[in-house]
Amino acid sequence: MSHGRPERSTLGMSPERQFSAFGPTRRQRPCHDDGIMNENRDFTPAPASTCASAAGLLRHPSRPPMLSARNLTKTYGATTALAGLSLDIRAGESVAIMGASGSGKTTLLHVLAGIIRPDSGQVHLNLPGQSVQVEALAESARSRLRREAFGFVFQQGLLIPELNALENVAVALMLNGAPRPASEQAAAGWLQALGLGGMEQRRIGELSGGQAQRVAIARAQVTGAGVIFADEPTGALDSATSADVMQVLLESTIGAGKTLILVTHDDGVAASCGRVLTMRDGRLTGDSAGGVIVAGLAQGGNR
Amino acid sequence: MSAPAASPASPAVPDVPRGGSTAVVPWKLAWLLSRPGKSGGTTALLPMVAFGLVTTLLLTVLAGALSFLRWRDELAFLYQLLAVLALILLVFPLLTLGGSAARLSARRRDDRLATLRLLGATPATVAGVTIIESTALAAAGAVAGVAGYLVLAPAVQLIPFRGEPIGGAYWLHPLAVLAVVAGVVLLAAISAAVGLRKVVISPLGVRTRQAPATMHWLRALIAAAVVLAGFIAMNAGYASTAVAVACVLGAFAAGLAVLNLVGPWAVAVMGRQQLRKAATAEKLLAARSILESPKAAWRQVSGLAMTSFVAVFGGTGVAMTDGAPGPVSGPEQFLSGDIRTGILITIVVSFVMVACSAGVNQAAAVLDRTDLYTSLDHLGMPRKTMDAARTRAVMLPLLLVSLGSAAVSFVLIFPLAGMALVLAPLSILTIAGCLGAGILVVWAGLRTTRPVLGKVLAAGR
Ligand SMILES: Nc1ncnc2c1ncn2[C@@H]1O[C@H](COP(=O)(O)OP(=O)(O)OP(=O)(O)O)[C@@H](O)[C@H]1O
Ligand SMILES: [Mg+2]
Repeated sequence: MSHGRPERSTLGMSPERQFSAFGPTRRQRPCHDDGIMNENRDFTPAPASTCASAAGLLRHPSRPPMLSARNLTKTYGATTALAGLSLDIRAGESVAIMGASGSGKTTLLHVLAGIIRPDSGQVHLNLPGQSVQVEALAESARSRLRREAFGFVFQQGLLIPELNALENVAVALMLNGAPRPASEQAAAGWLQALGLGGMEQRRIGELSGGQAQRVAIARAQVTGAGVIFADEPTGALDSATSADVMQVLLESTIGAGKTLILVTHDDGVAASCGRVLTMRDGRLTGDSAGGVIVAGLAQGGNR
Repeated sequence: MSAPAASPASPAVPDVPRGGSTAVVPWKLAWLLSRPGKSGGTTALLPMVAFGLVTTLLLTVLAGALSFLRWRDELAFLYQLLAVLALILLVFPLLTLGGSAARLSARRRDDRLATLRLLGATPATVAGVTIIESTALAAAGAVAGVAGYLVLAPAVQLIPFRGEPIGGAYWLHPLAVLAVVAGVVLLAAISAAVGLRKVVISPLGVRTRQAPATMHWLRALIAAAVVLAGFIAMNAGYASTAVAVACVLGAFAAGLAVLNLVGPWAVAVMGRQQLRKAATAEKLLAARSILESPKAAWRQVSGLAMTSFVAVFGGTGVAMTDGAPGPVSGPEQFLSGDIRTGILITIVVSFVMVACSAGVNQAAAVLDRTDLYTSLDHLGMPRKTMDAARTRAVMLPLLLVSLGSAAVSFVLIFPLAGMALVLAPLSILTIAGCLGAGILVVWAGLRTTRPVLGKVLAAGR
């Protein structure tokens, strides 16, 4: 256990200081790797933005929202998971999504990330230099968008059990075409920074739930993705471990100026995010950041 | 991933209508649970397909072998002996295939265990239900397998031995067919009963907690010594025919022993070497999944080791007799040609068996890991990468094993094999072509599992 948490002391540092430790990691990001950028593609993810977001430049209010959803609907048979939801998220924002079970949080996350297509409505992703109509992309293009521009943390780590911790993280970079040695080096940097130094060679079965979840957090960010989606990332952990892991997640994302979109049931965790959205029956019923709520509420009220 | 968190040891079943549920007779419960659920369709279909393939292949091979019983002359005994040899060779891949079928039933049982316990079923009821279910699936598969045997009839009946096609001799006695079906069903029931305890004790997740087994290099040393001894014995010059035959049989037995000893170790060595040089995600994944259990990777394709070994061994013998002037009339005139036919059939059938079990196992592996594959898809891992990794993990050991054991066999009888290559190249090329075709068949078997992954991923989107 003592071995497992060498980072406890560093977590007390200011996020900026602590996560400047990722400097070398950033330099190895695939966004600087010409090899993959030169490929023929139907969209260009925004390495520049993801790299620059750390500096907070993109939070400037005059910029268009980074992620902009309009009138999203999604139904499963008789169930309405999304009922005409609209939402704007700016680069560098940290957004907590709350709501009762079945209110459509996961569905919203999946639509925003291009995992599923809405029945109607649009999701617009604005990255410097280009903008992408996410829901209009073909599956392969959305898949590419997900692995290059987004990072994901699921409720259960869902790591690959045959691979060790290091390889699980490195694979995310290798999928983007980065060579293995550089990928493993970057992965090692992330594991170290998240308090898993010395556990690189452990298989996933040899890690605790909390450690596995940190590996998942490292995997989500090793590509330099500027937007991290997390769906109840500590839902399967006990409360003490949960607090630790959540702190690691928040500091490595919000602390580094990344955009975090997080589904949580925990008010305390939500309070650490810059903005809190509440959902009910596939609609937004609350938004701590003025402006957009009105639209969301108005829409809800009209029905 | 899908490891059932609930352990039967936990007394967590609250006061559900307990008395009432336990009173429910197992077969009624089995019937209730057999109604199509979320993934019920596929999970029931796969074990049925697997048991069906086992039955079809078993019946067909048996029919071919038993058709030799119709001869009564002095050469008949040799034919029957060779048929038994071929059956022995085919037992290994058939067992692998049967094991896959049983494993598929077990996976279905895992899915249902939690449901059953929620219903308040006692362990005895759970056992009853699972055994009934496995048996029913096996029975349905076996009956379909009999249909497969009938469908194959016109093609197999054309195969000539001793100058005449098998024809009507293909038909097994109905009682024999019934016995095979009963045997398959019984084995399914037994393996369900035995497997029940194992699954309860070690759910899927536990396995991955252990470090993968390492294979000791001592295996290789022993194997090399045996090969060397065999080589010396083979080239020592023969005092008499009896000594020569003894040497050949000894070398044959030693070769098989060597293959089994060295197989898992060789697969592990290859896996480690692949892991070191893996430069892409799919190569890394494939190497790691081979290393996860070199023994299992070996077992999957070990049937081919025997077959390839025998193919080179017997093929050389046939080629040699082809080269020498033989009897042009009488019952002996067909012997060498028939042995070649037998070898080719054995090669093809064992590859088909391996292809079936590899395909079935891969489909099961995908269904076992639905959550993982879905999450990897969400992360943006291309489906192509997943498919490539799965294919590599089977094809690499397969190539190593089939080509490797052919090479071991070739070394053991090098002077003869070398001569055969010069004297009767066509004979040897036919066998080589058959090995190549068999490898393609396995690849095609894996290819058929792609839609399974496609369906799994589509469900997660
Ligand atoms: N693949 C699906 N098939 C059928 N119905 C679905 C599917 N996915 C979601 N739903 C339904 O859509 C609604 C919203 O589901 P969603 O998973 O988005 O809820 P959630 O807010 O994430 O809930 P939870 O807090 O329990 O995770 C639910 O009623 C759910 O049953
Ligand atoms: Mg959810």
